[in-house]
Amino acid sequence: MSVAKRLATMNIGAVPRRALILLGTLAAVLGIATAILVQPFADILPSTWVIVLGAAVVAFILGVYGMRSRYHGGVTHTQIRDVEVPMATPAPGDDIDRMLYQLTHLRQGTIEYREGIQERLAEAAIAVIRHRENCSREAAMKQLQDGTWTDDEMAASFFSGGSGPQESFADKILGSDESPYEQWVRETVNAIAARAELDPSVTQAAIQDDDDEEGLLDKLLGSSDTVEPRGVQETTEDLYDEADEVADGVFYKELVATGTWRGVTGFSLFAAGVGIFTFTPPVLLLSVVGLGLAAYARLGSSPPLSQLEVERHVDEEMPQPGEEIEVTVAVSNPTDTFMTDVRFVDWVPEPMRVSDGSPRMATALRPGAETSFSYTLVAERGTHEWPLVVLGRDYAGSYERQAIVEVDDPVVNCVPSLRTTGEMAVRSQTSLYSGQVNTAEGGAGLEFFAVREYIQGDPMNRIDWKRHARTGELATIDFRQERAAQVVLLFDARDSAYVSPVAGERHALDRCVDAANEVFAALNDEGNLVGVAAYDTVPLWIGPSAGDDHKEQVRQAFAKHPALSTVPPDGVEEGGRYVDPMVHVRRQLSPEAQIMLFSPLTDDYTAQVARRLDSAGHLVTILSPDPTADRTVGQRLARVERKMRVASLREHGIRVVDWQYDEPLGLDLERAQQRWAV
Amino acid sequence: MSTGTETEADAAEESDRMEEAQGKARGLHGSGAPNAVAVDHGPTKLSSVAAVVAGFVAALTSGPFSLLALPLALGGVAMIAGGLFWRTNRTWVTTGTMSLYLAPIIAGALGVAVELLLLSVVSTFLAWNFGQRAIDLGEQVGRHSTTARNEAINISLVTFIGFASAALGYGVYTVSEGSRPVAAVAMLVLAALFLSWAMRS
Repeated sequence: MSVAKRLATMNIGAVPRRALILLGTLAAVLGIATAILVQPFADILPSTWVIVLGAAVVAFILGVYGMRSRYHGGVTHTQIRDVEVPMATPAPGDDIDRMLYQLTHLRQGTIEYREGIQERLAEAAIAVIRHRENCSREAAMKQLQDGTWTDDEMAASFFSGGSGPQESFADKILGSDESPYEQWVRETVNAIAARAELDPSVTQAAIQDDDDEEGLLDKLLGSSDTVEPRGVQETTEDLYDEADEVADGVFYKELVATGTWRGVTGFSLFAAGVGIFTFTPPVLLLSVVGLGLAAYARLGSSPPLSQLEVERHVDEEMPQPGEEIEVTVAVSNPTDTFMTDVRFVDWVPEPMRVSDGSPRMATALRPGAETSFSYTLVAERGTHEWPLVVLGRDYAGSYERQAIVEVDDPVVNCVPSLRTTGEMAVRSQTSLYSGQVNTAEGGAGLEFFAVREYIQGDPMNRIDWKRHARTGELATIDFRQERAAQVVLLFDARDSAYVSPVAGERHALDRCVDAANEVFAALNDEGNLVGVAAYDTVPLWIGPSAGDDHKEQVRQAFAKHPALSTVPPDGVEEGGRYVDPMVHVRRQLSPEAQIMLFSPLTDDYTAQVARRLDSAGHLVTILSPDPTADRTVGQRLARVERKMRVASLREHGIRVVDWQYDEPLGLDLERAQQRWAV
Repeated sequence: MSTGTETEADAAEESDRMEEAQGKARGLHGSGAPNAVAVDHGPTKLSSVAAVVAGFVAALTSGPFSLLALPLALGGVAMIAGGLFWRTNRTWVTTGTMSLYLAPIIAGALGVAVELLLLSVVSTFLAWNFGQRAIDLGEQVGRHSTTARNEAINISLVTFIGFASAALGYGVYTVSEGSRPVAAVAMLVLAALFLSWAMRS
């Protein structure tokens, strides 16, 4: 780095301060001397103007350099995520889109991504063909290789070793956003979707809709400069990265030089250069303003944020999920420092959204002053405690300090009540306990079941005396036995369950828990023994039981158990040994338990789990909220994959309730029950 | 007749209410609870307005005196306003400021009164800073939040510092007015520069 640049960017860390003071004093003395003793100096230094000219040029160049560095350097400040909106969960298929993007736009991992995409598409296509044609895997593969599976030539060539579309002339001239390969993949996916009879017209409309790209004007003007992507995703854990605890519950992040005033010296040097060069003292004088502001920019220190007193009030500490609560944050400044620039951001927990007001505020706090702001947020299940993020700047705004103030007083405890609006069909597998599920066994009971031959020892009150009077034979009447079912509500709580069709909408696991709430209450009311389990990195197991204590235990688990948390797990897989997350469930599952599996069915693992449980003799019902979307190629492929998964599970005799995203659960349950009744 | 229409209206109202209730119930179980508020990261209002006003003052005190300075001044103001009101763009604000800054320098070289020039330059810097602040606050806090007090304090502080340094320079200038050579003033400026660099926060 050149000296000039160092000076221009005012990065004086390397330039000894003393030298600067010395230079400054020297220049001052020289200047005053020249001003007072004009004649003698002019006599001694006949070539003063040469020096002056040199100074002018240097000042001019430094000035331009400083302004340029400003132009390119921009401003640094702490990025704040959009705390108002709930965290964004991906839609199924986003991974394919990402692969496709990296492949075509960034040209990364060309071969492996190409193979990966090819494989995914082929698997989906084979599943679709097998389902439609009812043929073997080999036959499906043959169709795929021959290209006879679709009328679309471009799509057919994808698997039969074709070369893909050529870039059209118009695209070459005008430039297209979509590379030929992308186009090829899109066509193929559309063909697969069409073969699977997912309505392609909807899909097409959706593509047109979704392409809300920047207009031509934006492209020309290059809006790339407009800082960071909106809604920077930062979880609460990330917030504490590289933060030091400076006081009890207060964390400081490193001081940030914002560079708000970067280049101001450049401005004034530019004026000085022009002023000297043109011998116009007024223009030279103009540089004083910039210098004054440059001095101001170096003044001041970061405000003592750690001493701020923060209080938070919540009007309802135990809300129901979906209920709106009002939060008021009050901050006071007990120090002697005038904090001219403080900005507060209440770090609303990730699953919650703000429905009214703003959880942010920027203000100035005099010594002893207090301020407050309030907003309304929509509660979500779980136990929530959240910090207040404070950004403080010095007088001139040159330095910014981020402080995280933990507020632990009101803990919002949002536990859903177990309520039910409908019924849940229980299948015929039952436990030994009596209950309400009709079995195909005779015995003691109420409803007539069968008449059978008398066996010695049958109770007297069940002997068919009328028949005995008529024929003289002994026969025994059997009544239908009613037993309680043993049901385990099993959650697929892996990372892949945290998906939603639209970022920021409720994800599949949340919807599963909502549904489980109702199902649990319904089953429990009917006298069944209901347990709860989840397979995830954190195991959850509550054995099938009944009673108030059990009910409360389940209710709390729905709200707070880490396995069912509304915030996705960190996603860091423990390297090395792979542990099947189902192990703990299978170990504790009793053989007569029915399984009610809650999963979005976004990958094959859950389908495998269901089939394995089914073959182990459990009756499995899957309740699957549909999280798929159809805006992009990947999402459409994921939708086809899921559809085929559901179809193949149904072929295996596993009941699947395909819960559409925008429909209430009751509707889909009713539909499913009608289907099952037939 | 009238009773007939009334009952119809009642029925319609009732069905509306039922729909609403169903919508609410769906909100709890289905896709959307009450929607999140709109987050607006546009530049905050007060500072944006202040920036454009300062820009106009700067343009009016330097532009009208020279045919060359006028387009630079007006273009600069337009650039700043565009970077704040049309679309959020820091580079536009900075570029506008640079353009605006050239106007008093050109006007000064053509011999416009130094008082006007100082006012123009101070206003230019103010426009720059207010614009920066507006974008800054917009990004971090947002236009949908309360920011007025913060902005007002910043506006008054920077305005004070700007005019104070201009006054200081002007004082020295008038005291030393006469046949002082440019070299002396240049040296003094350099002195101020080095000393300001030596100062650290």
